Amino acid sequence: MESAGRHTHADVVVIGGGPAGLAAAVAARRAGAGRVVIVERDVRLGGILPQCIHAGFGVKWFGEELTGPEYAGRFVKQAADAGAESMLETMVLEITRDLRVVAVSPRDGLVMVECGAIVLAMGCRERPRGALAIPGTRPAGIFTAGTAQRLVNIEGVVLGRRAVILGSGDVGLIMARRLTLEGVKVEAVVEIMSYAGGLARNIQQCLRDFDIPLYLGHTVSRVHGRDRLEGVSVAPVDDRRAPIPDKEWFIPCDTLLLSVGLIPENELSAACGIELDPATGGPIVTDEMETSVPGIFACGNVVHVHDLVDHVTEDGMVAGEAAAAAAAAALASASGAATAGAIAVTTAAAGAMAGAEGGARAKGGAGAGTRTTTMTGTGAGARPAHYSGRAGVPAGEGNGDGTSRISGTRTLGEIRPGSNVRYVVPQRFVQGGERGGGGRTLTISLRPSEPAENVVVEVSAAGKVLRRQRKEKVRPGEMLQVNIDRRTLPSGDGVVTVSIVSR
Amino acid sequence: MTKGAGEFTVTCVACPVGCEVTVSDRGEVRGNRCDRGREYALLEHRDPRRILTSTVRTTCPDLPLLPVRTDRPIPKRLLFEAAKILATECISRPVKAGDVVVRDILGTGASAVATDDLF
Repeated sequence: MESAGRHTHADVVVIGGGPAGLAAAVAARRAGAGRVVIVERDVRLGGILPQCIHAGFGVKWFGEELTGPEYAGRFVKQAADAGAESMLETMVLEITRDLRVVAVSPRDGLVMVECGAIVLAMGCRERPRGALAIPGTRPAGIFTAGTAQRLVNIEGVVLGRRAVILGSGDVGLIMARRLTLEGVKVEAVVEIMSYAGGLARNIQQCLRDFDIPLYLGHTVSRVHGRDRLEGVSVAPVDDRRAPIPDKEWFIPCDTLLLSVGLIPENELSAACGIELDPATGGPIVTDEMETSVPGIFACGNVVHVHDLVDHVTEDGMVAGEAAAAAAAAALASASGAATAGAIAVTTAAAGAMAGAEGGARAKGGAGAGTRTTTMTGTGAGARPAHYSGRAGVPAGEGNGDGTSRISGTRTLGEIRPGSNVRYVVPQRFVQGGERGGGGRTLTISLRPSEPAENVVVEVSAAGKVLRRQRKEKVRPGEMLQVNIDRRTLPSGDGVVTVSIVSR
Repeated sequence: MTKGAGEFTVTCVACPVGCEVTVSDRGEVRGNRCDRGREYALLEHRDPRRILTSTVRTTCPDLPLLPVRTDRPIPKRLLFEAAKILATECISRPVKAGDVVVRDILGTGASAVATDDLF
């Protein structure tokens, strides 16, 4: 019964084996991390890419247009070549501030991994029908677009004969084309906003190529059918996005796909007390992709929803490299960890494992370690002796006055969204830092709140403009990036603001 | 933008700006902001082509569908017919990503190749 997987150590544990996690694992190994383990709940690595059979991935990263399975395949191979391990069919139940990962799998049962650093790469999930409150019945035939994609592309299910798609996100547009080529009549794509959610190229190549009508400023106002969907009512919306009843019409269909947004998957992060950004739904991160909990990094769609996988890979590379450095630092100072704190730790860890041995009491057991953290009053107090390197590091939060100490003893500046910017990532930067993957360059990703033309993306600090980048067109569906020379960043209490202003 | 008889309008996908480019019946291009947009619109007007991605059935219970792509763009008007050909295929042998699954679809010279490993 004794299994090697039950209680183990790793330098870097990556949670999630999609493109973000794979890149992080590759980068961590290349940066010298000893044992790097990807924990993945599916039976294979690759995340959502294996079901994205269409082309268009990798133009930026590989310089060629790959399909999802091809893009995933390249990184699965890179991860294996780099010597990263993976634990498949393994579900993480809990992560703790003292860098333990509790997971469960059919093969190993309950597993606890003590880590030098953790990389969160759980991706995102789809916004479900329940979040929309569409009036009407509850018939079969309503799917989120990503679920439909999996059913059609992996499992070979025929969904129906006539479909309507609500929402113009990229997955919905891709599915409009896929269903059309598989012989389904796609009657309409209906979008409540006055602009399309997906990439312009997808509007052209998935809808216009096949003469599929796109109704902007419209919504599905009612669902009809008892056992199976029989049709939907569609209506234009007023300026408060409420359907206008007397302009409603009926579209017969047996299938309704919902492509109405993606939500970063942060249950584990929130339970661990990681500070989240309400604008992104993901952790607040530094330019090294470190969260508010020292030693826990995050990358990809768990941080914010990306529209291109190439950018997810870039995030993952930064996070993996920084996690490797953090793990190395933790290990280096672990030898001198014979402090009272470290002794308390060992006790806490033993208690946690006693709980783990009890099987059903797993969560309580792991919780014991966390409680000790609180009681000893330092973030590193309950750190297992093996990795107590960052002893004394305060696990503070952003304090809103421009500087934060979310990571170690370094001073962090803050990056804030200005006019017509919905969010920025990273939200913090290490002052005087030159890591973060880009050396002297700090890359800020942002998304506009509203579409606009002939604008300038303006980065400023303390009343001084650091960078102006002209843009012909900006749309919320297309993420923007702006590069800043770190030497121009403010020192001391630094607040950097990113705005989109007219030219 | 008004669209005259015989005019052709396409959203350029050469970059994220997404210009609406129109090619008149006399071959004049307008609406583009750069040369790439002009070339894209003319090609789209003259001979639009697309990579077709689809799946073929397999006899493998763990992976009932194998994803495939054409190894080069095929004429847009042949997409439906090509998809039908792929729908009748069934693979019962091990393949690696990049292996040819169906050769020379509809005389286009394009082959459908696997984009994932099977078995």
